[in-house]
Amino acid sequence: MIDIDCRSAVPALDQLLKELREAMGLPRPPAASPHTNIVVDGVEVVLAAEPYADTGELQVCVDLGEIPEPKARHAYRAMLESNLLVGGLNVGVMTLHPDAQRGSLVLRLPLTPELRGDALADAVRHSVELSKSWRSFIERLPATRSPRLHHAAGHH
Amino acid sequence: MRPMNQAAFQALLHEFARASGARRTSIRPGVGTCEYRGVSVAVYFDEATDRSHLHTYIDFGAVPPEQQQRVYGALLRDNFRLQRRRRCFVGVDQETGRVVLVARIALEPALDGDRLADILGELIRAGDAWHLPDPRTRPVRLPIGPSRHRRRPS
Repeated sequence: MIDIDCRSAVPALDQLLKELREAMGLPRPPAASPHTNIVVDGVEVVLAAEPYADTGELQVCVDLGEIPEPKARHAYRAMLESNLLVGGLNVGVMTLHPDAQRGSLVLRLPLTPELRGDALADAVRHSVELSKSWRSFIERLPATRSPRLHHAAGHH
Repeated sequence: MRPMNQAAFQALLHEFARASGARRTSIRPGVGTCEYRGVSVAVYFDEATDRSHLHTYIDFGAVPPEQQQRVYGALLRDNFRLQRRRRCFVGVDQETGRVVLVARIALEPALDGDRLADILGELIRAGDAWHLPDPRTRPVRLPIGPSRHRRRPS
């Protein structure tokens, strides 16, 4: 689970999350929390409000799954290239969890009155589809040894 | 928000150049490039796409093959922190393999040449944690920025 420490809830967030649950047919969370975890098509998504400028932002963190060590170099490179090709703070930044070998896609959406449950649901669904594509892509990557290990094993 | 147009943008970059001592400075409508603290920096402003921010690209150079897995992992882990605390992220250029940090800088009223130099200096220091080759010895490549990529940061 990707856990984001955020204690600065924005007042509009409760209403937005209620709309999101309705739009996606999700159950009510068991208790009030500074962040909300949901599971969509088997993919964990964490939503957390953070203060920024006058309005605050909603951080949407979508789990990309574990990245196996033998595939790490190719997967990391592809994720970093993706950041420059299609990434952005509002559309998603590829990251690794600080304490785990799990990838995550992080979006930051301005918490403006225009951001409603339907639009947020669309963004979450899109990100979940993207996560599934990345999981599949990483699964198909060939396993490689690091160049240092390769060299030590006598290959040139 | 600091009012910004192309004339004010170019004036801000001239202020920055004087305040920072940046080298190889080139200031044109919409973009300024320079070498600052040993790395290539490009700063963009386009009022048609974003009136509230400057968009900045910083080139930290390529990663030696034997260090790639370690450094790429460090970059991705730092992204988790950078996007949240500094409103920036890092990626790798598909064609050149060079590490590029992408930041958006809010056009706050207090933003002047000195402040811009401080912000860019902080962003450049973020790269210290990656232990890339010494910036004083790695080759500098100009220009960098959205012309080399498909879209601007948002």
